[in-house]
Amino acid sequence: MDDHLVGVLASIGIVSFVALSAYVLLLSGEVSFGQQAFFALGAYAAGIGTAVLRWPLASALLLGALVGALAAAAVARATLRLTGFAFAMATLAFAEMVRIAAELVVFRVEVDGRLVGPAGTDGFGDIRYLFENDITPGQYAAGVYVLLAAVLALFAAVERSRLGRALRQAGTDPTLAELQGISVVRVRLAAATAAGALAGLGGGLYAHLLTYVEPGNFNIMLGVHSLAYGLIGGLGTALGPVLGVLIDIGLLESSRLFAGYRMIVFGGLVAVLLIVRPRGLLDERAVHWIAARIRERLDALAARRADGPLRRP
Amino acid sequence: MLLLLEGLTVRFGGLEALCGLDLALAPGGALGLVGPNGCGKTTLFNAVSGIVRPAAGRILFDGRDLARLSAHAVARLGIARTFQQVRLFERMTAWDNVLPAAAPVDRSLAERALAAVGLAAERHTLASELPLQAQRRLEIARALARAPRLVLMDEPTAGLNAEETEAMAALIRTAVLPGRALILTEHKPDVIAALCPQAVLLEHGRKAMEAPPAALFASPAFRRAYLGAMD
Amino acid sequence: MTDVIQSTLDGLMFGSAYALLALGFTLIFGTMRRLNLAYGPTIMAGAYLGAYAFARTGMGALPVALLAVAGAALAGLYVERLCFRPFGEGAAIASMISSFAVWMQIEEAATLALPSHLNAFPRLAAAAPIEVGPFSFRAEHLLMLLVASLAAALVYWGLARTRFGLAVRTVIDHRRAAALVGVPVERTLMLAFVLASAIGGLAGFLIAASEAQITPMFGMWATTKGLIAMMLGGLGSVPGAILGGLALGVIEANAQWLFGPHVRDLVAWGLLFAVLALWPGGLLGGRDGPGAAGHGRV
Repeated sequence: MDDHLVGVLASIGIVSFVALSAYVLLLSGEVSFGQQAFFALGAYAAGIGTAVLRWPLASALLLGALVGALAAAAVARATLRLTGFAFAMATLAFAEMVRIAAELVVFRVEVDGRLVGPAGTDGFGDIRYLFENDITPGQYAAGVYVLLAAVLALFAAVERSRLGRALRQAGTDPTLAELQGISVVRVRLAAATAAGALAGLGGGLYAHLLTYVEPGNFNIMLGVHSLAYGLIGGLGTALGPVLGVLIDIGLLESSRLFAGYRMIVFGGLVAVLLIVRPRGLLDERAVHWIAARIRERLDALAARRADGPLRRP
Repeated sequence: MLLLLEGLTVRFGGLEALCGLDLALAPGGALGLVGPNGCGKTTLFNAVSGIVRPAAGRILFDGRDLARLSAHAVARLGIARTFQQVRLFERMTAWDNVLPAAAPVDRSLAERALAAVGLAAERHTLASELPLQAQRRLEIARALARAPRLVLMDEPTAGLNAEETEAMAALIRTAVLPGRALILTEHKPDVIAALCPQAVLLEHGRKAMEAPPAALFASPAFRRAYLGAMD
Repeated sequence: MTDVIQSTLDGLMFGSAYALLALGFTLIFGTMRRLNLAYGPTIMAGAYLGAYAFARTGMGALPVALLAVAGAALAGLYVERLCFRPFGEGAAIASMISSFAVWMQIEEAATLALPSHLNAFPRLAAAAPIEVGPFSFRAEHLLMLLVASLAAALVYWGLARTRFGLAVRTVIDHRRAAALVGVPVERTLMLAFVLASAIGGLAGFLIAASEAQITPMFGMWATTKGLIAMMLGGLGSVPGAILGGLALGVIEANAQWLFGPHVRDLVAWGLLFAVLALWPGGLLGGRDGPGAAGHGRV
C-alpha cells in the first residue's frame, strides 16, 4: 500500500477523533468552534510525553487525553451559564488563546544531547517515537483504527444507556429534560469533559503521525471543520461525523476534481445541508429507519426459524 | 398535606402573575384549577415544577420547601407534569420518551405505563410520527413512568372534540388518579367535575374561590372571572 | 507617560475602524438576532475586488473605495440569501454555522482570484505624519478616524431620521409587531444586511488603504475584531458597538506597545472570554440571555 494512501487513511482516522469531539457537544445542544484547543493541548502533551519524558506511546496518549479532558472541564465550568452564540464565541476565544499561547511558550529540555520541546512559533518537532521504535506508517494507521473502533463501540454502548438518552434529551429540550429529572448542567459538564478527552487523544495521535506540530495547525479552520463533519455526516449516530470526515478528506481532498475548490464545495455543502437536512445525512430519522429495517429482517428470520420445521404440510 | 402553597408570589418584571396564593392538596387528592387565560394557572405549574423562582412564599411538598430547588431536583422528588401544547422529544421513539433518563430507571414500570395508555405497540415509532391524541397519551405515560406522587396536567383536553375529551378523561381517571395526587387545569367544566372533588378559581393571580365544582361553576364569581364584571 | 497617551490615541484612531466593523455586526444582530460570521470575508471580498481593479488599472483611492463597498455589499447579499433568509425564527444557530461555512467559501474564492499573499492597495493618504507636541499622528489614521466618524454619524442619523431607519428600529424592537403594522420586514432585513456589509466594506477599505496592502488573513481578522468589539460593547447595541470598537483599539494598542503583537491578540481574546464568562446575562441583554422569561432556575 503506498505511503500517501496510508497517510490519508491515518488522517481520516485521527481527524475523526476531533470530529467526534464536536459531535458530543452538538448532541448536548451546544455548538463549539473550539475543540481544536483540546486537540492542540493533547498533541503537545503527548509529544512531551514521548519526546521529553521518554514515556511509552500509550502512556503519552493517555496523558494527552487527560490534559484535554481537564482543560475542557475547566472551560465548561467557566462557561456554564452560556449558551448559543455566547458559548460558541467563548469556545472560539479559548481556542485562539491556546493557539497564541502555543506561539509564545518555549519549553525545551535537553534529552540525549539535544533540545526537545515546544518552541513557540517554530513548533514542536522531533516527536520521533514511531521512527525510534520501528513502527511503520501502516502499523500506526492500523493502531489508529483499532482505537477508533474501540471508541465507536463505546459510543454505541453509551447511546443505548441512560447517559446517552439523557445527553440527547438535554440537547434537544433542556427545560423538558430538567423536568424529567435530568441535571442539564451535569450532563453538559460530562459531555464537555468526554469531548475534551476525545480531542486530546486525537491530538496525541496527530502529533506522532506528523512528528512535527506547530500552532498554525490548530487554527479556527480545524475547529469549524470538526463541527461541519457532524453536521454533514449526521447527528443520529457516531458514524455520522466519521462519514463527514470521509467525505471531506476521502473524497474532496483526495480527488483531483476539486483541487483548489475544496473549501468552496465543502462550505457550500454545509450551507445547503443546513437548509435541507439540518441534522445531516445520517440524522436521527435515517438511523431510526435503518434500525427499523434491521429489526424487520431479524423478526422475519426469527419467524421463519420458528415455524420452519412445522411448515411442511 | 402533600402539597402546601403559602403566600406564593411570582413576578415577571413589573407584572405579578401570582400574588400571595394559598393552596392545599392532600395525598391522592385531585384539585381542579380554573380561570381565564392569563390568570396564573401555567405560572403556578411553572413555580411548583421548578422552572420559575417565586419572589415570595413557600411551596411545601411533603413538608419540604421546593422554592429554591432546581427543576431536576423537584422532578426527582416525585412531581411530574404534562403540557398544554404537547412537549415530547420529537426525534426519539415513544419508548425512549417514556423510559426515564434520570435515575431511578424502572423498566417494567415504564412498560406498564406505555401499556396503560395503549401505546405498547407503538414503542418503536418516532414521537413526531404519532398523531396528536397518541402524543398526548405518550406524555401521560412519560409522567407515570417516573412513579410520581403528584401530577400536574395543563389542559390535557385542549383541542380535542367531545368524544376524544371523554376518552381522555376516562384515561386520567383510570391511569393517573389511582394512588396519586393531581392538579388539573381545564376550561371544560365537565372534565373538572368528572375528575376533581374540589376546584379553585384563579383570577389575576389570586384565589377568587375554592369549592366543589358544581358550586363553583354555578357561582357568580366564576361568571365574572370569565365574562367580566357586569353591573 | 507620553507613550501611553500616544498608544491610546493611536488605539482610538484604529479603534474607529473596529467600531465600524462592530457597527456592521451589530446591525445584523440587532435586526435578525443572528451572528453573521461571514462578515469579515464579505468585507475581504470587497477589498479584494478593489485590489484586483487596482492591480489591473491602477485606479485611485476613491474608485477603489467605491468598488470595495459595492463588492462587500454584493457578497453580503449572497450571504443573506444563502445563510439567513432560508431559516425561520428558531434556527439562529443554523444561520451562524452556515455563515461560517460560507466564510470558507469566500476566502477560497478570494485567494483563487488573487493568489499572492500580499496584494497592493492604494494608499489612503500619502502625507507625512503630523506632529502635535510630543505626539505624532499618521495621516492615514487621522483620515480613517474622520471617515469612520462621518460614516457612524451618518448611520446614526439614518436610523433616527429616515423612513428606512424607522423600519429598521421597529424590526429590531419587535419583529412581529412591525410586520403587523405594515413594515416590509423581509425587505428591511435584507437592506439592513446589505447596508451592514457596505459599512464593513468601507471599514475594510480604510484599513487596507492605511496599510497599503491586503492579505488573505483579512477576512478572519476582520471577523474576529468586529466580534470582540461588538461583544465588548454589548450585543446588538449601536452605541455599544462604537464604544466597544474604540475600547478594543485602545486596549490593543497599549498591549502591543507593552508586550508585542502576540500578546496583543491574546489579550483581545482573553478579554472576550472573560467578559463572556463573567457577565453572560449583562452583555447579552434581557431578550436573548438564558432565562429570559422570568427567573430561570434551570
